[in-house]
Amino acid sequence: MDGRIELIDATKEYKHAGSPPVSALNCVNLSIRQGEFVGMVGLNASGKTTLARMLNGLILPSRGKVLVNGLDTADLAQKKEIRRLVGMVFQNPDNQIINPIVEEEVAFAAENLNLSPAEVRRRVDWALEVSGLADLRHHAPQMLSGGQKQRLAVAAVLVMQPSYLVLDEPTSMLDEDGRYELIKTLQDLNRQQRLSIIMISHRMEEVAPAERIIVLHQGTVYLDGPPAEVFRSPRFALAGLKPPPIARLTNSLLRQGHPIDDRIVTLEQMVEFLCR
Amino acid sequence: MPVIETKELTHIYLAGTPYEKKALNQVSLSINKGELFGIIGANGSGKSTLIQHFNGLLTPSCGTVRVYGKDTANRSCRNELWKKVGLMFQFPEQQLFASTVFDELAFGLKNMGLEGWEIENRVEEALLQVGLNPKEVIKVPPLGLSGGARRQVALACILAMRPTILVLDEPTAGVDPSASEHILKAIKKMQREQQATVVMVSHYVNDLIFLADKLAFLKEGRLLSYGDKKTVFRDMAQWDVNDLILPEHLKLMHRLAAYGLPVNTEILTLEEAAAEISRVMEEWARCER
Amino acid sequence: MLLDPRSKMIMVICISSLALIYNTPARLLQLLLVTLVLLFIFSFNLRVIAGYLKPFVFLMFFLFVVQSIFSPGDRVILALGPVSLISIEGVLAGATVVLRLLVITAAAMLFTTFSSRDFILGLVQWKVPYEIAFMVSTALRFLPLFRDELKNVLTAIQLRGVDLKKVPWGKKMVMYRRLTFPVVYRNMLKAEQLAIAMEARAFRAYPQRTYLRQLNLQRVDYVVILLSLLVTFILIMRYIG
Repeated sequence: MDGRIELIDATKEYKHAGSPPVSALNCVNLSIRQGEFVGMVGLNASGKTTLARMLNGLILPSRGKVLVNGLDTADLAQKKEIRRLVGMVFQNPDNQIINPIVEEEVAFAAENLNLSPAEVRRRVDWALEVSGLADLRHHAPQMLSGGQKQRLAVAAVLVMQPSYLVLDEPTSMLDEDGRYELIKTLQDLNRQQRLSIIMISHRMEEVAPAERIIVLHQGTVYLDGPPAEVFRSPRFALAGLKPPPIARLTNSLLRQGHPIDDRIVTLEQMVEFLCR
Repeated sequence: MPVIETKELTHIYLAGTPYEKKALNQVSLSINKGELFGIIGANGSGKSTLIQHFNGLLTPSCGTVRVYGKDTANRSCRNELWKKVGLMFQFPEQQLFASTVFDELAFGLKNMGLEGWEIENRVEEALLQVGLNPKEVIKVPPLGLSGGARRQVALACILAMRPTILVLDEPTAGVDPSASEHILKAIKKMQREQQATVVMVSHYVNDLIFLADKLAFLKEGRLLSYGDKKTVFRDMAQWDVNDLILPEHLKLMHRLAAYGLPVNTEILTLEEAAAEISRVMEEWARCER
Repeated sequence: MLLDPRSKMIMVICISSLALIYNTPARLLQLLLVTLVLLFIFSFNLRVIAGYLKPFVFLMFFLFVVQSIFSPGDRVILALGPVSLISIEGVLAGATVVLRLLVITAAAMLFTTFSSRDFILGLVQWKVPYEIAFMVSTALRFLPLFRDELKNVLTAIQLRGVDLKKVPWGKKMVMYRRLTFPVVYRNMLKAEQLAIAMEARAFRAYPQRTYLRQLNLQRVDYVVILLSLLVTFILIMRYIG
């Protein structure tokens, strides 16, 4: 079983009465391997949200296919397994949290999967642990900070033991602390649990540490590659985006002829390079 | 001439109850005419509470707030403030309610007592200011627009009233880079062309580096630093334990300096940061030869 | 004393039934006091109720007046020439209506003394289909959201020059009517997002689902249920007979 999500000629069109169909995604071919940390960027209406929702079958393509570990998202019989394999976290934590107690919120998905009570309990404990929320298990979600709420949303999905985690602008409504906590949690999950992370964001500094960045523009994949390459590409500006500060710094230093590693795009990388 | 002045401003929510919370603690600052004043702070630092004092939505528990020299504790002063001080909350698109963009902007203008033709002029002008095409959006319901466009409409609503003081809470939070650019351009233009005073709360400290004339740094209700950019950033570095609030290139300078590299941490822009690193690398290259 | 939510549910049903049957202000007032005492026993913060009801005080007064005027009676208090406006019977009728409303609202507050999850769990263990119980619980959860949305929009209006206290009642009604659509629409969007999030977490993916906790009716629950039903039955018999 090859662990990957594949989009094959995936197209999504919306038909409006009286006007030509609007194409949200146009013939996209993409493959995301298990364990990859992918950042997805692009302007509004570039198709990022549509693509994200196709990864777990919330939206089905008008043409083409989406395969998750070989399973077709259009196949109704596979819906449950696909939803289990691909977890999704959305922008606004308040619109995702249902239960009045943290522990119960996390248990929700596991209960829906009809697992044994012992298994549910085991998974809840694990999910709370890896999201750093074990101390808050009996708290009310409304009392949590933005960052904690989003980590709760992550834990609530982790409990299904997915192989892929898709996050649609998860940091938009968070402040610095919240963002830092969430991204650190995601990086730990990716490294330690080999969880594939696909994160949509408007802030380039957030996706800079990813191993791969996909740029969407007007419904197609405009760029796809390691961060340094993507940021340096002239098509990046054409997609309406600006590279993160450190990447711009690196490019500026390269232009002046300094022997700097051209793969440096994050603060940590720069500090490490200069302080060796 | 200070347009907004606060003296030992303290605000306590739900005073006297077990849920009492001191959101602001003896904040004293003054904002001059035509300045772009940036406010930085984490959630819970009191920044939203602070700006609500500037248009009279909140009044101090202790201390005073003066706008154009008049004390906001005075009811008649507060009743006039909404015309002069345009306040835009965080995620203002949550407050849009009319059936068309035109009605949305016209609402406030009608309350100001303007005539039909004047209203039409201002609506068109405001939409152009924020980077929207009036012909495209005037008849559209605001709730049907994209997130970025809704934000632009919300800003246009405020700009149409031609306030002399513009107060914005996180104007670019959660919108894509393109809408973000339009919004910041509109704000800067307002400041330049109409000598408006702008107070802007923002997490995107990078934006404030270019736009702001003065900064204020709030933490847990206290004003920890206030004044010119370099001073405030220097002070922030001392408080910013996890390196969270400062912009990336400033964080970089501080980290490099902590390692012992001879870089100047008092720079502001990315270009200056590049120049500093360039200088150090040239030094190294020279030493190697 | 922790009661199973189902016992509390039975109590609410009993109190509401009595409220519908009783027809005099005196009895309704007694019922209201009993309800408030029960709420207090279940550690319900009465100040919070007062806070919730404050915006409706005017409405209730209005209701009282209208009901009083339109309920005819013999013992006239206020007359305009030959036309009798308000009679004692009218006033009593008005009081009855308002008190009934208060009793039912207060009883409903008992629902907030336990978590929505226990509510669902309780119903499911009594063989109510999970989806229905869940729907009811989520609907209840949305009520404060409506209130928040309304507050948001009212703030927006204030920022654009409308002083709510100065607006005449007629205009206020028109305003509220215009605001209904965006408030409802936005809440529907929120509900949709919630539904998507739930779908992404395998809601209704399988015909069966596990329940982590189990609610067990204790002896005290049986006592409370039996007592409530018995007392209610006796009171109703006495009132009718």
